[in-house]
Amino acid sequence: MDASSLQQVSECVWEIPRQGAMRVPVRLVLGPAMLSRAVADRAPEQAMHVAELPGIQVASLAMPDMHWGYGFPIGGVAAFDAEEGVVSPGGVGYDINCGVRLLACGLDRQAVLPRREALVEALFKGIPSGVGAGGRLHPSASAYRDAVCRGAAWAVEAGYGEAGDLECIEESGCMAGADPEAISETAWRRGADQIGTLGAGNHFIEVGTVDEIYDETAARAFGLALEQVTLMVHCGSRGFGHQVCDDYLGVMQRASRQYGIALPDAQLACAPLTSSEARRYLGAMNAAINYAFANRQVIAHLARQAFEGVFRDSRAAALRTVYEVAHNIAKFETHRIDGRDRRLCVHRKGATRAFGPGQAEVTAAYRDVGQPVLIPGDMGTCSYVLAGTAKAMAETFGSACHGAGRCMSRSQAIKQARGRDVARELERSGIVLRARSRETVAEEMPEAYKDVSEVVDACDRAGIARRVARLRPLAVIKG
Amino acid sequence: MASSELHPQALPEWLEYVEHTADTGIRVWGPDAAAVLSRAAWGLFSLLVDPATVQARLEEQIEVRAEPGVPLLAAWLSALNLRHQVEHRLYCRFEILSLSPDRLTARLGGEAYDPSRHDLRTEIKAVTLCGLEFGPVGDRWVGQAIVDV
Repeated sequence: MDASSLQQVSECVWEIPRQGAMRVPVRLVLGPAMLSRAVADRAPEQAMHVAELPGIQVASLAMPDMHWGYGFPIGGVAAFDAEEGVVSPGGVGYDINCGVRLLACGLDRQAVLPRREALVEALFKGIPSGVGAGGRLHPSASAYRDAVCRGAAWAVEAGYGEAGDLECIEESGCMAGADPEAISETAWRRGADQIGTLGAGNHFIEVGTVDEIYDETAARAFGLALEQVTLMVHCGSRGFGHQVCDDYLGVMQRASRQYGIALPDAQLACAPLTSSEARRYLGAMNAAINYAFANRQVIAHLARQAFEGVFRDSRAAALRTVYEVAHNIAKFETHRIDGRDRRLCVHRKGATRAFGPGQAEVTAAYRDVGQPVLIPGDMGTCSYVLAGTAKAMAETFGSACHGAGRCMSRSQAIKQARGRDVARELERSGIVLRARSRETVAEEMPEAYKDVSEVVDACDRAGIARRVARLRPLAVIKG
Repeated sequence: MASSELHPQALPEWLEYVEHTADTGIRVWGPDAAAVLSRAAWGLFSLLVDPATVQARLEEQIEVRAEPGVPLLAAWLSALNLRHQVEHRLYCRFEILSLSPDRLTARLGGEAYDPSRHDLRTEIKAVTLCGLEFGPVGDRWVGQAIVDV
């Protein structure tokens, strides 16, 4: 695809008009400087495939961190009519409810720096991470079932965290409608010892500090101040969610044929939302969503223990949950289209909900300013906190980007990292890195990602999320 | 685009790693379907661990049936990844014993994962259907699979 086939709708929104079997146009949210790289990737083509699915509404969207995924692009958002539309496991992804939690404490940068090495060691030892690492929780069969039905609330009741955490999590940390009967024995087995584990790949824990405030009012509402120390957790539903997706891709292949849905890509297999196949998938997906909520809740608790162990003499070390967002999810939401409220199944694959001020779904404390939108960058630069907007509600089904987005394949990254010591380079930039695998560090090096500031700037200029604060990493833990 | 850069070990001439922005994959070729299935399995495990560190200390049999619409190559690689994830197995030998368009049986040689000897490189969430190829091309067979890591 070349850039000349795109029509500029506004400063940061570009449209691929309806063509062929597309039911709606594609809209790409991109800064002008990002355009040539975006069209050279296969994400726009994948967004065009999504536009062919039955019941899709308004447009197939891609956020500025878009890149080639499988089926749906990463950064893809698509909303389907609840009666005439479909649900697609490929539109959610394998790591169901992969997401980010941000916590903040009362310590500032100067208080943490002298004990940073000890803190990193405590976090690294306290939170199981890396390939093949099992967790320390071994829930009984009934407790495990309870966890996937009740999510973070299960973890809090089991002693992992505080009740106050729940109100600062998307969906309050529990997705209604989880159906344990829709889970395969294999999925139960894959997830059995992984609650409270970080995993590997792009999952991480980052200790950071607020180094820039863009919106004083929203920052105050979120409880963020300059120099304050934060902790970000990025992980998902582990093997449990991976298996749920895999199990239902087969089911959806059969369903697509049975219901006569033409698929431009096998990974887009789907079923009508009113079908029994869709009901079972949604029940299983909701269980995986809750698994991820429970997982991050336990990890947040373990991080608190690490902080409190290192800073025993300071009550300011207590970590408060600022917010938690989901990245890979499909759920029913009400959005206004052509002046009418419509019930839609919104798929966000590598995208973040970005609900604006006044939305009932947003935590009461943040309702005046909009939902916190947490955007991790690469491990060497910075991360951002944004706030959802009314314009996002009107134009992107209340969605924004989810990160920087990769721009380099893993093998390219490993090739570029050969002969370099990425950990030492980060150390020279003032960032301590602790990782289980050198290969993961190479794959995840900063240059493998787009410039997160450029991605966030595109969201801000498009008006779908506004910048509130920037976080600089002090330490990163990778699997 | 194919590459041999993912892991610097010398690769067999019938295997390439496939580049994907988010993930990675394997591309293999061979004289027939059985050879491609066997080589693809070897390629899959070479993404997980240095093959030189895995020994055939145990032998297991496996039967794989592909669901309608799911290519046999994807079902086979998924079944092997599942054994690795759930049973913590690593394999280095793959002998296809019987084969039909949607079903195979195979004998596997490998061992239990031992953290003192096996340095796991990555975790494969799943074998995707994206860009999947399995079939004859000219006078040989080709198989390609992209995995979510």
